[in-house]
Amino acid sequence: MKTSANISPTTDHHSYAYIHQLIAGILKYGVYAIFLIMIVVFSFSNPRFFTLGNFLLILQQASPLGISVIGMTFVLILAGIDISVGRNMFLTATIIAYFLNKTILLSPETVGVAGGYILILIISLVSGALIGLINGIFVAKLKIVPFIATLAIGSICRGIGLIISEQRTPSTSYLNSFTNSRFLGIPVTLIMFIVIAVIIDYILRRTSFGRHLYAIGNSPETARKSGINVNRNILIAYVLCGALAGFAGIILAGQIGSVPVTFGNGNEFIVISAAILGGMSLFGGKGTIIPGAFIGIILVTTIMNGLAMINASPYVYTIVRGLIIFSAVTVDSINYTGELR
Amino acid sequence: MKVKAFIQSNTIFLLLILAFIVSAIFVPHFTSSYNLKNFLLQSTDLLLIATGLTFIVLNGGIDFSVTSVLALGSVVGAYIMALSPLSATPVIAIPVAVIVMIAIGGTVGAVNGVAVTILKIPSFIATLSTQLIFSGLAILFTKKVASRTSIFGLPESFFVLGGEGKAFLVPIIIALFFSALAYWILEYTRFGRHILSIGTNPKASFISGVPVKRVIFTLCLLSGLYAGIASVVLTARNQAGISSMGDSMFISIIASIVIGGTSILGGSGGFKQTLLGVLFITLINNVMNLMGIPWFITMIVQGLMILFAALSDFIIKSRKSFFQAVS
Amino acid sequence: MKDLLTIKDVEKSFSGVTVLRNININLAEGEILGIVGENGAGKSTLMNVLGGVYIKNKGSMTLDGEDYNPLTPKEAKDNGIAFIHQELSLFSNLSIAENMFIEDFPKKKIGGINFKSIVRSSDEYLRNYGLDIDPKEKVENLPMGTRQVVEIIKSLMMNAKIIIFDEPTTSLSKPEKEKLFETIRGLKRKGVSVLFISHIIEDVLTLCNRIAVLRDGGLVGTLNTEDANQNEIVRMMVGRELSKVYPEIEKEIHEDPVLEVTGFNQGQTLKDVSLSIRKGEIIGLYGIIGAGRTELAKAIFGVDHIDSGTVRVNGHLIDSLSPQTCIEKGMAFVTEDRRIEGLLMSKPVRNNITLIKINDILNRLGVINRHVEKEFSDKMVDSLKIKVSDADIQPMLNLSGGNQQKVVFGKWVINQPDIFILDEPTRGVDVGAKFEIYSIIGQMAKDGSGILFISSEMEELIGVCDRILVMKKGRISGEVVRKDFEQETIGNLAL
Repeated sequence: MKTSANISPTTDHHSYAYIHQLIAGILKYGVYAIFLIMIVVFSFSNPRFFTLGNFLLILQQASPLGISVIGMTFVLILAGIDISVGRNMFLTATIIAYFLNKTILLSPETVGVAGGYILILIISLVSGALIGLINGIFVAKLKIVPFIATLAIGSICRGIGLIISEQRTPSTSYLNSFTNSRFLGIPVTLIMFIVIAVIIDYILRRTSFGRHLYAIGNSPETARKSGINVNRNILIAYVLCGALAGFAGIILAGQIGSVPVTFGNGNEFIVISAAILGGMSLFGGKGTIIPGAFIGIILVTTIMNGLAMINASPYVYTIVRGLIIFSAVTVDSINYTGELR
Repeated sequence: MKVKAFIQSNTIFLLLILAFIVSAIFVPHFTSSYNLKNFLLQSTDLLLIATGLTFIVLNGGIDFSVTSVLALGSVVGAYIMALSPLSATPVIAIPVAVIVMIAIGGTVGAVNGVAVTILKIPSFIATLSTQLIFSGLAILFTKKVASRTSIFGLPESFFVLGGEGKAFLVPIIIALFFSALAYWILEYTRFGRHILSIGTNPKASFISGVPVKRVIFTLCLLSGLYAGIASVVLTARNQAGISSMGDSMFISIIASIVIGGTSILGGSGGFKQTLLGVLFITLINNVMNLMGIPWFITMIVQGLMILFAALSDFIIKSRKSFFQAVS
Repeated sequence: MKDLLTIKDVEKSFSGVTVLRNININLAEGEILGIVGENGAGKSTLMNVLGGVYIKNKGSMTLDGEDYNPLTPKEAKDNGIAFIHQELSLFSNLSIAENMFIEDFPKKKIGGINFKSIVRSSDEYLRNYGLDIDPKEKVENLPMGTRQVVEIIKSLMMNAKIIIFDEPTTSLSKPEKEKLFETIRGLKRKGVSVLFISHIIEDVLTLCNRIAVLRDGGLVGTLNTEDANQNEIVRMMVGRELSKVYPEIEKEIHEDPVLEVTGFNQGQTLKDVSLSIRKGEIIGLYGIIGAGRTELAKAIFGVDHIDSGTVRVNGHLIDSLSPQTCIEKGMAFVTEDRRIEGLLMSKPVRNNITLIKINDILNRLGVINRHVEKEFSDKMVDSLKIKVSDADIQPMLNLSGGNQQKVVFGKWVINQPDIFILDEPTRGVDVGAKFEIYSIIGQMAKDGSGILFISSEMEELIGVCDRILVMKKGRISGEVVRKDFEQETIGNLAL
């Protein structure tokens, strides 16, 4: 983590720094170049890839996880991390599924009314936010290392989710009519993604809260001295991350139609790699929604979509995901010129 | 006062004994020889992996890829022993498989090592990505060679390594041996000192001539190798190569290390602690199993234990600094 | 001009050690007062008392006629005292305008920041101070000098009545310095008072109206700039009775150099530095903070990279400089900050002392011979007279500063190095332990080692060294041999 917002008279390693920058530049554009090549390969292998219909599909596929990427941005700017988001999605989805299937309040009949959908979305936000709150308390107040705290809490979420679903696969197909609907030809989920992206982008760019987050990510000490309530902001960031993850979870559940036992597994890594590809740094202080998070999730989704189009073995997905994170993070690491362990 | 100090420095050991006694009294079938044998066997693979991982945690790092080594090693080894041309001669196939399985661990470890020392990627994200890559490879490999998710038909003589029948002591001895080896390395060799000094203060260690990069690379290697050994034992016990091996194990591994008393931030702890932690966690798993509690509830319990352990670390540290500030 | 700030009989102690005594200084409205003094003279402490970071033990202060006793930095800020440190408190990833308004963003009706307004205000301020930059520019893209001015403007925006500058010019180029001075003169015209802490006498003489000289925690005197000159100021800063006692060591200095450093260049910090140390010689390296001494030491030992330069030990060139290769060739390095770079604080004495030596006490398989280790450790504890109840168990945290430092020494001495680089070896060490450390140094020289003794305390260098090199702004500005040792000469070379 960067430790200060200063430039002290440090050594200016001319030749060393130059080579460093050169390699960083090559690698950064190299990663994007590889993506371009992959896209070209996909297009040639399957003519259906490079069509408007497929692009819309990609955008629709990218939307739910994209929403979670937006949430993760808050946490990454602070140089934190949240690896519980996938399991957050799972727990939230099982909670909603439970209400849908087992209670009168949200039975399919009431859900059909517009109010019902909104209630569901609110519940998903609240559920996600609560998980985020617990994460935030452990990280901000109790100063537990973020990845351990979110790892443990994520497992607990998954466990609780499995208790609620009794290890079965509850159906959420009733949500289908909402999540797969279109408004003026555009998928509703895409609209929600864009709307949320625009709002959060505004918050990050143009509100005190947003600018304070960047300040904290740059130098927590200086931020504290400038009167910023660092702990509270960290807490809020994790709450927002959780809330958006929960929201993303319910949309995903609607799209898939059910909540299988493996729902959400590994989603945190897709989200994180999309974020890093979109320009966010694990070391904090930078990142944007537009264009950053947007590009990141679309890039990742495009690759996944492309793999499906060329009928790649489904087992290749995990490998490709791993390679994507690896390369993205290598670039991030090389770009980072601050103090490291 | 002395009693208090004794309790504080041996908490986990006393907890373990307490838990054992309580289980013996209240949990049916716990003390049956069948169960006790099971308990010991279950602890062996956890011990091996957690010991390897402890090397890295002592240094302040983490290694998520150990479970992928289990999976990949398991299926590749099973392939060699059951499906490859070598499978006709178990006498050759088995040793070759064992060596390959351990080597896979070493390879994954080496990749991690390069990522952390040369590319300077933080260990948790580097190993997270290698975890995805290699576990994906495991599944892909199995599908290609066996068109299903597991490989059966391993030679019977191999199962000895998993504690089959009368040979149930074999894996226990293997696990204890490597655990003791790790302990010995840490306590008695210069390398062990270097691990702890880097974990305590990397900058001071560097200036004092400790080959920091080399040590960290070796630690990554060791973690992978130990996971490779674990995959041998686990594959033998399961009598099959399973592509999803170790999937939900990671929480138990971390829980063992953290509860045992090794600090997740590095610099303190050790293999004795990990051994105790492993026994404790295996006990919890075993008891929950006997009581019919589903696995995911156990997972919740383990998650809570990790949080609790991390919290007590925090409380102890803040009390220490409070005393220092006051004195 | 009436007095804006008065400081009367102020005293400050830490754990019984008096760091400031009988300070009496007045600051008038619109006056630029220079504060000079050696490292450790008390300048920073005094400013911290003013700025609410420390609370004084005795004395009183008034601001604009009213009692002034800030308990927190915020109180000082609210009273109009702005403190501009060497490490600027700007966020490099935000724009100038955002940095200026970070504490209190003006909002629009909907709740977002009114960017138009802050850009406009920032622009106005920037122009007023002669800076022609886009306030939307990110701070990380600005050169150091510009950042400083931005920081100044930020303070002014908060209606600072007094601005304290702490060593502002150390990393500035000549034109940037000129601009800074212009800005400060502009402040003066507007009635803002300035406290200008600096080591660079010529800057202080150029800019300030009056100069206050501190030495060893006390005020030596205050001069009007027109009456002052460099020599006098240096004399006031460094001149003192040489009262401390240094061990007499009979030793021989051989002809052959044991360490030869040639042509070291490192960016802006080291410029063509060369030195050589002979067997049995103790060379002092004096200079003010930022002169480049620690950077030189770290570069020689291979901790930091250099652009060019070579190191020879006993005539042999060291191929790739790293702590490992240097240690192999017989070099040792006691760093400036033992807590961060010298010791494993949570580990016991024995582990620390033998950290390097264990390379030599191994059996086959790399096993440490514990018996021999304990012997070596005990021998060191004995010969260095380290006070510890149990060297095998007690962690370094529990030892006193002096004993901690001795453990650091022990770690290196145990290997019998041919070359010993010491960076502020007696910092934070009590008087008794200091003498012991000087004796250790002398003994090592007597045994034939070459020693590079870096210190900000001229007196101890004069007391212990055979030659003193002086560094200034990354270069060796001069060399003084023992018979010519004189405080003013050395001081002049450094300042």
